[in-house]
Amino acid sequence: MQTYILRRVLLFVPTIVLLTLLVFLFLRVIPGDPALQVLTSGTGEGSFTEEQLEAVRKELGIDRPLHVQYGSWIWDMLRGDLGTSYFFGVEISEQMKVRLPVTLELTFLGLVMAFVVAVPLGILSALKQDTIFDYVARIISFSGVAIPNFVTALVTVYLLVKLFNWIPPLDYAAPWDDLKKNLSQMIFPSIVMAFLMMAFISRVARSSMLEVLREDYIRTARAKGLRERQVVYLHALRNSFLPILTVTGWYFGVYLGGTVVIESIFVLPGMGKLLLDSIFHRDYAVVQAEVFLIAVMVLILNLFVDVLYGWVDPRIRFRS
Amino acid sequence: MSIFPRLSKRHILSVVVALLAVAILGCGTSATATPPPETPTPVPTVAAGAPTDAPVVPTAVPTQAPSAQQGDAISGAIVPMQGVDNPSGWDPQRYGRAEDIGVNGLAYNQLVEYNPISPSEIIGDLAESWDIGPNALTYTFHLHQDVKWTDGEDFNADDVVFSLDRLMAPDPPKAKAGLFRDLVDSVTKIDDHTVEVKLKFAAGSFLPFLAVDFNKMLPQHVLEAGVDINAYAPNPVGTGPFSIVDFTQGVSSEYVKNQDYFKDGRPYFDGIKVFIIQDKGTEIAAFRTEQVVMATSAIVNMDIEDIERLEADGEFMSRYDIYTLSDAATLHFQLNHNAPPMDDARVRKALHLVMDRQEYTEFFGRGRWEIGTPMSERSNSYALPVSEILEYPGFRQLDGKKHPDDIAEAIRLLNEAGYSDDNPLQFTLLTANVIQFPEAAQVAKGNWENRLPVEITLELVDTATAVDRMLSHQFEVATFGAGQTIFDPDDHFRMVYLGDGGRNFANWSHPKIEELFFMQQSEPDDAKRREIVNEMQRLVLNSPDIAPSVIEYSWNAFVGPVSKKIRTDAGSFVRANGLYHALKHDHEWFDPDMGQ
Repeated sequence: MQTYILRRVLLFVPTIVLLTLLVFLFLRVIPGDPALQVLTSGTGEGSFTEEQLEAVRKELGIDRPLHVQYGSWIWDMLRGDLGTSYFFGVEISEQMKVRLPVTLELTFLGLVMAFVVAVPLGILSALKQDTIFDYVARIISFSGVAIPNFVTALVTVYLLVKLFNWIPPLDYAAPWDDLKKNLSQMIFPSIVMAFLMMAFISRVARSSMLEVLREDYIRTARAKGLRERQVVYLHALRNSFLPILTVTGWYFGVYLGGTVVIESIFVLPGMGKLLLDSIFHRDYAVVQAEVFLIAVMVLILNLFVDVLYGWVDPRIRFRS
Repeated sequence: MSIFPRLSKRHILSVVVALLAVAILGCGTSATATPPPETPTPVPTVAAGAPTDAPVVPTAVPTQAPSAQQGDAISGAIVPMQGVDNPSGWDPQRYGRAEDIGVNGLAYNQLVEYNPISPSEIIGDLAESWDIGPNALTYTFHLHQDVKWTDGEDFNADDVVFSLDRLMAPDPPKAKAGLFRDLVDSVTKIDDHTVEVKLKFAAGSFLPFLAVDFNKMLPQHVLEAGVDINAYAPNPVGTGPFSIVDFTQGVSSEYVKNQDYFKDGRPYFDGIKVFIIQDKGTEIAAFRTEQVVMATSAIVNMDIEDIERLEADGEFMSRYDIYTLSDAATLHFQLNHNAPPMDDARVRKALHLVMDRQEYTEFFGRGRWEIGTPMSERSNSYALPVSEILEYPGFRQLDGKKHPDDIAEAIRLLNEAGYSDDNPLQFTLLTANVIQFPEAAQVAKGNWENRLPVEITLELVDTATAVDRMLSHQFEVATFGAGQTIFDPDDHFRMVYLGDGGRNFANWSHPKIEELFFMQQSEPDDAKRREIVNEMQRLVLNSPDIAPSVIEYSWNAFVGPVSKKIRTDAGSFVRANGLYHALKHDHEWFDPDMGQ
């Protein structure tokens, strides 16, 4: 297992290099000059000379050859220097200190809620295939898949106002500062996120369980006279868990990248909002730093999920 | 199988109960403005400077401070406000949007300001009073003597000279300073608390422009020490009513009151918390639940339809008033005359002739917008009457529809230029995906394609791309807009129709119009100036030989709610006349007992 982990960690290097190159080049290919944004507040208004434009480009470091810009960025990253926002002069590491916990908390809460609902729902749905329960569960999960999360978020806000004349507080509080306020802010965005994740996870749980229940060893277990609970809990559940783990890990990675819509609608200071804001401002420094961080986190998360595979299914462990 | 129904019910029930418990825990009390911490006490209002009617050419009369108006001001409350975007930076002189100055300007003052409770007046801010010299060529400003920067240094005439010189200097570039360069000859310190400004000519727009919120006085000692005031830093050195203490990009910023503010008893708010809300649904919900009680400026995301729904809601209207800022900005099309096909004046004229401005303003403005003209009649006394403009080709209607003669003439012009149904005029309409630009582009596309042999490709891009393309002249036709800073021909007309105008992306110019513009700017006789300005407008709108590269189609109103809890010496909140006026919030207070 240690060799396996080491090999995976080594694979991080080319992945990160490729990813940073892609982000770096994409940002420079799309139209929109950060220096113009800085000079004209993004509206094109204001008189400036070509020399002033060049001076801003120089100040931002975007006048240098591309390979120099890329090299300098990577070198700074390796030294732990995430850089400074082109626009606000704010240290990006300071921004991340605020943003990252918000996104992590939102993702974690959403995932836990989704998992807690989706797994039993999917499994029961499989066990009660083609019954009313199964149909209702499938309708719920199809709804989650079909309804975009911005619709769910807007309907949630609408219903909260309509029913309680209340929406989650806009003034963000960290959990360690005010847990009650933090939960009141995070719970509904988390539910919205969980709705979509729950739909997918429960679909996967159902189909995975159905597949396992048709395996020979399940028939054998039943033939041995084991009680149904033992068959399901001891034999079927664990074996049906790998696809669930894959989807859950995948979602965690996706949402780590930020949940732009949900953060915007609930005015949360997460990573997604910052990323979108920075793309619109052509704030290369922030976009690059954030994508780099997200990429590293997703790679580590994938590794963690792979290790979990081994724990859930010893066959994988022995094979590796 | 029999065991699972029991288990599943229990499991499902426990999950539901757990979720409900967390949700109920979540539904805490709403975070509205904190009530005032102490018993309301009357606070004397500030002794303001010298009121002057804004649009009138100043005459050489010494001014005197008006008597302070006694109100029932209540100090306290952190007031939650809505903002629609991040500021572009923290240097208040540099950027040209209400989103910028509405927050980065809170830390600073102007020399003079628009009276926030009597918006057409100009009163002193850091200037206690001012005298206007013979022929209105010299302005002598007498500064308040007890003003300190927040770092304890004295504010004095050196700061004013430094700040006005910086405003006029080309470096760093500034969005709203061009007018000063036209008007001001020199700025001189007379003594520590007196500054003299000499004008190049008697300019009626000088004082109104000086009062705009962008023209802030900055601390000379801080800037000369090399501090970059454009970079975010908590507690910047200023004289203003509030100081920023926290900023989270794209989410919120927080301000606390300047305890040593030079206006007695002000500001009344303990602080301001600005939430950047870009989603319209969340914005409406935030107002409904009083998580925000007003916006930092007149700009909100809601459109007129949303406002009408709110106005129809009696419960909401018992807590809020809806305020309208008319004619604050135009929406228009920029035609790049530097390249085909818009280099042909006949093509530009044809597009102008068939544009149905009435349809557009009625559909989107629902009676609150006005058709696009070089100056708005409702706010600018130099504007041509709309009734006259509605007689012009391109604006006129017959039986409530586009005048058929205009359509026929447009088709004739295009045919003459070589375009027909077999060989239609083709161009791309570049549209930034913000505010009403995409809708405007759709309406224009319909207007043009339904009436002319024209094929239009819409290109929807983000604002950064649109700005990049427009500044580098890589467009054919584009949708854009322009705010109105002051109600004078020197402002909006210059911005849109002069070759170096900030909103004339294609840099179109016409020698006759440039000549007339600079003639009116230095004309001391108001009646003569009015004549020149009228001629200028008629040339742009109704000359067979002149086809500008800008087609203005609407003057937009900004309409938004303000809580009845926001009070001023005038009683309720007073909306400023201009988008960039009276944005310091130092005259408002929060009364939790109002609008219950």
